[in-house]
Amino acid sequence: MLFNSADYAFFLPLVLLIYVLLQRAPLRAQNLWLLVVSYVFYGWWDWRFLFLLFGTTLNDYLVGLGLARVQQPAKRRALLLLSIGVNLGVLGFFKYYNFFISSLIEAFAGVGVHLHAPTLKVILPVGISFYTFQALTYTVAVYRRQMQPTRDPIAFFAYVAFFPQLVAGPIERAGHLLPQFHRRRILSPEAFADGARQILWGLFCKLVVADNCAVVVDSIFDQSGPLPGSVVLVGALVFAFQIYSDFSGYSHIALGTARLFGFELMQNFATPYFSQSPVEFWRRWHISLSTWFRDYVYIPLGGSRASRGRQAFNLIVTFVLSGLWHGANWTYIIWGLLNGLYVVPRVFMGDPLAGAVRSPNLLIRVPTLALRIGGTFALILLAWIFFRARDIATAGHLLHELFSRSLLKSPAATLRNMGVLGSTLYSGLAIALLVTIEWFQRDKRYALEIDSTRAVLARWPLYACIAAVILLFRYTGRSLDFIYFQF
Amino acid sequence: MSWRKLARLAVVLLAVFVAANIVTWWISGYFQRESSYRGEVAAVASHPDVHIVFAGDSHFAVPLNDLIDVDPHGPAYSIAFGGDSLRECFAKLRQVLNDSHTIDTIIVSADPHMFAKGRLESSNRSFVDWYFLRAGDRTGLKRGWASALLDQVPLLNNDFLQYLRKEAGTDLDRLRGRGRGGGDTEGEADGSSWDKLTEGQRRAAARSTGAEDHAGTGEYQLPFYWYERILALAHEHHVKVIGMRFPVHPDYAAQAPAAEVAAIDHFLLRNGVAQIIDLRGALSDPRDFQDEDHVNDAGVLPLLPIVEKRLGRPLMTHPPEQAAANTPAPH
Repeated sequence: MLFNSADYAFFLPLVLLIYVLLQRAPLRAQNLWLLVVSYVFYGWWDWRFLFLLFGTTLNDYLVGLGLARVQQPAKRRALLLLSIGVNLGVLGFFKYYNFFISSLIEAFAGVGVHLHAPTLKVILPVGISFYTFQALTYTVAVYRRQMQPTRDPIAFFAYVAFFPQLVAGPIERAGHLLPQFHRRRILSPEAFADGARQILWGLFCKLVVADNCAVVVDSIFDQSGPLPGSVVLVGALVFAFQIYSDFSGYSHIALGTARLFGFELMQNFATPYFSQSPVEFWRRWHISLSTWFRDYVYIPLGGSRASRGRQAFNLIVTFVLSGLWHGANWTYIIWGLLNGLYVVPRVFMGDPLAGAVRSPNLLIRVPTLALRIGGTFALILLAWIFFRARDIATAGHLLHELFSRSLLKSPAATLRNMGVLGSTLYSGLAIALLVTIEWFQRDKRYALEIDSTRAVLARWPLYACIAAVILLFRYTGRSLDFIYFQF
Repeated sequence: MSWRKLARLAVVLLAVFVAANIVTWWISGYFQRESSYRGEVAAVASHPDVHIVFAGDSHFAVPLNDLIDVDPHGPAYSIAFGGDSLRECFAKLRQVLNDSHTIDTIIVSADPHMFAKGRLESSNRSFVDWYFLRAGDRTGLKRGWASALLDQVPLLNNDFLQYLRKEAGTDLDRLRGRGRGGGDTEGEADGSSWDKLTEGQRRAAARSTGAEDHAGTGEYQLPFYWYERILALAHEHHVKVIGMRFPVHPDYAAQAPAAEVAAIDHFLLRNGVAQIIDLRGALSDPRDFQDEDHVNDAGVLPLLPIVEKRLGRPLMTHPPEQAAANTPAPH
């Protein structure tokens, strides 16, 4: 079920109403209700994969209990490996089987050996990358004795399947979310209003910005013929905001929805395009995944407690794996590698412009800030081309055009011929509105978070305008999936 | 903030939203069109002697509706509407057959373009969602019952929003002095000019529109599926189905691949259509046409007797000339 679907518009109020009615019932009844509706939510897409979700969750639950009972380090390690093996095995099979087989065949074909390995029509279960990673945080935490295993299967199953963040995150840590299933949630009017506002902002990001941008992006990136560099630039720019609005929009709706139910999820985006360096960007973009890779890959590899060369290697490995997490395609691996290369210089050079950013002299501070933000954005933009392109060869062609003279050619005529000039202008306006509001609210968790002590007249016109913009300027074509559902 | 205050706020917001929807419904041309669309279907109940119902798109609606639908005791009635596809025909026919028990024959468009790509999705799609919802039939609701229900709320209706934007674009063009002043959404062109064009111009226009309208004829299963459902519905109500094609310019008709038209005919006859009346070449005088594929108010006068003769039944209580004289100005 999509957050932006009509089904969800009926599902959410009904689920919430019964949840509120169960507020005086035992906590287990409320958790059971959340578990049932979360499975309905997931099964709406394809009920057959409920068995997979159930199976991996059961495995992690039993491993948790086993870790509490077993004291020998070797057996504990074996149990942890069982959990990791099952989760990553399932993920690997559904997500990477065909990729590895076809890459293997291509690699052998390159040296003249022709293999005939079977490729399967494997359907990728939605959200598998998210819930397997979230479940792993539990077994790792129990293994590390950072938390006690839960003996409440309903709470644990509801934690793994919690519908607001089941299919596209945020990837919660067991230590943060699971305890919230063990205590009664407090429903407050402030939290409720806050959640509703965040949902409103998420809908704006998704329906007005991301979906309108999608029309332009799809036309440009799916074009088979050559395109001038200026059009490639437009495509990359619009895609940068499409993917941001799409994913941050999803996260805002997830966080807002969870808050309606009295849960607090971790913040997943913090206006990343205002970052002043790639390192900062990765602290503000898909925070739950970045910190997951930091905690479970980068630090175990040695993190920053090693030589600079080793640190750089650890960073590159972490980013390449992060790229691979996004999908079984070389484009994602190159995207990860590029981002790794962006952050490596910091290991050796530190932050040479840090002083200029803090300069009291405006003539120094403002241009430095602009340069840092603009430069970071440009680097991220280049990497996005690999992320969105069909394959490496296409990305290469697009980059070639981007750095050719055709960059100086007006994109208007080509966009008009493609029938997307109007949509591009429309998307541009939506992006401008998004950036403006986020700039003024950049220190907040989300753009509509306004101090409730401010006068009603200062807040409500903005809410009303955003609601009107959603009603009048939302994308009206077929319902579009959230991009991160495929990962 | 207290729950009470939050509830009050929610009520105010809801009231504003409801009011905005009522105003939108009241003033928008889109919902006026929807009212007229549903009104036409509902009005069959005020025709107690109706035996024959026409269902199709503007090819039927343009010449027929203003003539036969205003005859309260007439034996025929048309629920055809510009832009309808076979899905809309099915939904409306089911409603009409439930509302009226005197109908013994339905005449459904068998035009090749009804089986083409352009009719896989109708601009009237959300108008008939209502009939599917009423019938508790999910099979016709492409985006599910929840989406169809939300579409009944004017400001949440995506088709309305698309209409609104199109209207705004047209108004903007008009302000810039680029207004084309072309036909309306029922597919009607400027009727006064067709016979003023040279035959060369008419042929060129007919070829162009014909090629566009007939693209993908017979290649998609969906139109056949809906025709099958219409036939099953007719069978259930013991009603005869006749397939019919109204006159068009020969160059327009020529754009429909002959093999595909033969396949459509074969399909219709095999599945229970009693008769296919192909009148595409029945009229040839340009003065009888509004454009390349629509008969005009003048053309319907010679056309109606031809249809009556082929059916062997009258369609009106008065001769069409007399009825036409009493008819309001053409739409």
